[in-house]
Amino acid sequence: MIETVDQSDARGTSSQKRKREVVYVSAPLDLRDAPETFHTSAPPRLRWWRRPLLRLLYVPAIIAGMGITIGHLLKNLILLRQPTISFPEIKPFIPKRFRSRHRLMQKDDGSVRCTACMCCATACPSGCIYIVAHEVEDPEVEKAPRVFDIDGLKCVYCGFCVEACPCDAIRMDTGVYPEAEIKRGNFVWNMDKLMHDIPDNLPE
Amino acid sequence: MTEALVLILRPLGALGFFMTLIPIMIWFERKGCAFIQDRVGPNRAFIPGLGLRLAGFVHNLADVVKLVTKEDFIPAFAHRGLYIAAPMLSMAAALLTYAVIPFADDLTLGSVTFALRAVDTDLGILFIFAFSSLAVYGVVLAGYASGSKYPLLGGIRGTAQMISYEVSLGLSVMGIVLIFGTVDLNEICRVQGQLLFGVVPKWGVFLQPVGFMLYLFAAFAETNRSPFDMVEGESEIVGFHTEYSGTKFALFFMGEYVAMAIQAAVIVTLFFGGWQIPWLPTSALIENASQVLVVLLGAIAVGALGFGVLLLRFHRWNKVRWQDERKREGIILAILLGFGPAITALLGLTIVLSTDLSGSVPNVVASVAQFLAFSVKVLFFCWVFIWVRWTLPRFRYDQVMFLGWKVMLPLGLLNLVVTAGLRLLWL
Repeated sequence: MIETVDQSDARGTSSQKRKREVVYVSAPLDLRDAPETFHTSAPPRLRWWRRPLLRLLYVPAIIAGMGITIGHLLKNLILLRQPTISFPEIKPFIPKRFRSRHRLMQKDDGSVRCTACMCCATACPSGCIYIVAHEVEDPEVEKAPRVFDIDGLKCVYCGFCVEACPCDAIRMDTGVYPEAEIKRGNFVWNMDKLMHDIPDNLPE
Repeated sequence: MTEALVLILRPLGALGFFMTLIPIMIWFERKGCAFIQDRVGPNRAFIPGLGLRLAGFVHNLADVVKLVTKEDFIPAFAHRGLYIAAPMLSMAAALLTYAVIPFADDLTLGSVTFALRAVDTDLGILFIFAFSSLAVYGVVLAGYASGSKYPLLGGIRGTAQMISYEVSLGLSVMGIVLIFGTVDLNEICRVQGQLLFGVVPKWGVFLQPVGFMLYLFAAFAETNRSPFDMVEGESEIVGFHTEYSGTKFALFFMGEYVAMAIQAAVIVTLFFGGWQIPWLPTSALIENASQVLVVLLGAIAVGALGFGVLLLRFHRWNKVRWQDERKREGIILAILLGFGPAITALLGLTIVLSTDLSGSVPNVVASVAQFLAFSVKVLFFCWVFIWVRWTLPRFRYDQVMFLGWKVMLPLGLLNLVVTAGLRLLWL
């Protein structure tokens, strides 16, 4: 062997238990004298099921693997600690700032806070917001949306509409995310749904 | 009259045993693999109104409904006759094999003695090999008749594999035949009741460890189970039943499970003493029938109690999930399947302790005990089939062939020669 491995030193102190000191010797110039392989460290001691003769039969490795799987099975059968969440019945934890389904804020009198300025529809990268504005009788209000539809299938939940809104009329803090529907049309949420079909106890 | 009844009941009972194993094994497969992979497994399907989920058992029922009501499609270029015959052949070949497997020692009722297996014949191993090899036809015909290239390739692959492993399968059993000197499975079981060196039961696995390993591997290959599921390879390679749907596919699927159950039964019969309870031959069982019954009932009581506790734990784990009638299922099942049987067994225990068994009752008790031992062993080996599937990755095709022809065939021959030599020396 070209290099020598000093194992007596390596086993000395407990802190250096696993370290092996390797003394490197430069490879000989004449390659005919070179050994067939160069080890940068001592060849690892194979565990019993990895030794060549036994490995040929596959059997020890198979038994070791089956031990692992049955261990998992017994652990799960007895302790019942699988991380699976039983989804529709148990909702996963949703962080406070999770961008969920939109809601339209209301004024104190219950009318929609949105002024139909089209900022959100302009900012929307997927073009999922559809607004039709109309005049209202209140002289202090310039205009308001007559139609405010969001297509939930187009929406990418980027939150740009919330950032763009100058009067805090649209928020994405409901914690609701769309579930399965029968028809595509059901994913188009109109103004009424966005204003009223929201969970209680949301911040004003 | 009685004989005719027995003649009808025996095959029906055996058939019932193996057909009952199918849903149990599918359930084992699904729930077992889920638990091995740290998942929960199927628990959604339930019977409305009753609120029964049975921990995923109802999924079998849903499967049946799905497969039966599906369109029974035959591709345009398929060979109609063979296309229809292939799944039948597959299932029939698997089902016929059960005929010679003994469930218990011969039962004597009064003056009549009858064998507890479907067909009272001494063909034994020969019969099993003859019919289990027919399963190849199901595979190759399905591949050929589908009129599509991929199933054809899958069928050819499967045929080559099954034929290769047939050789090792036969060779590994020859050692057992040499040692026990018979092919009659009941006789083989009976011999395995003797003791080796007065300590260990004379089971095939102790006499023929190499033969057992070879048989086990070859049985995996023969039933097309992972790690040898070259034939089907559901995730990567296209298999022979790609063009099948509905009931025909169900027949292939069930045929695979029946073949598995029967191979498990054959392994148990040849290598693990069949219906033998270790250290308790039939005569001892009959003599000590009341003690046997006491131990049996006690074991049932303890087992049922443990099962009930487990069910209750599952119930507490599941309780929060369901807001409907399903939330009471755990308690009801724990009472019905766990605590009820436990109490019944304990009551039976008190009755048994206060009475003497007479007439042919001890014989029946012995047969029941042996049948239970057989069932437990078979269930364990069914589980081994599933366990191995969810542990090992699939072999590459050339590795399968290498293992079959260059490793297992020489080992089988060597095993046979050594066994024959030892047999010559020590007989």
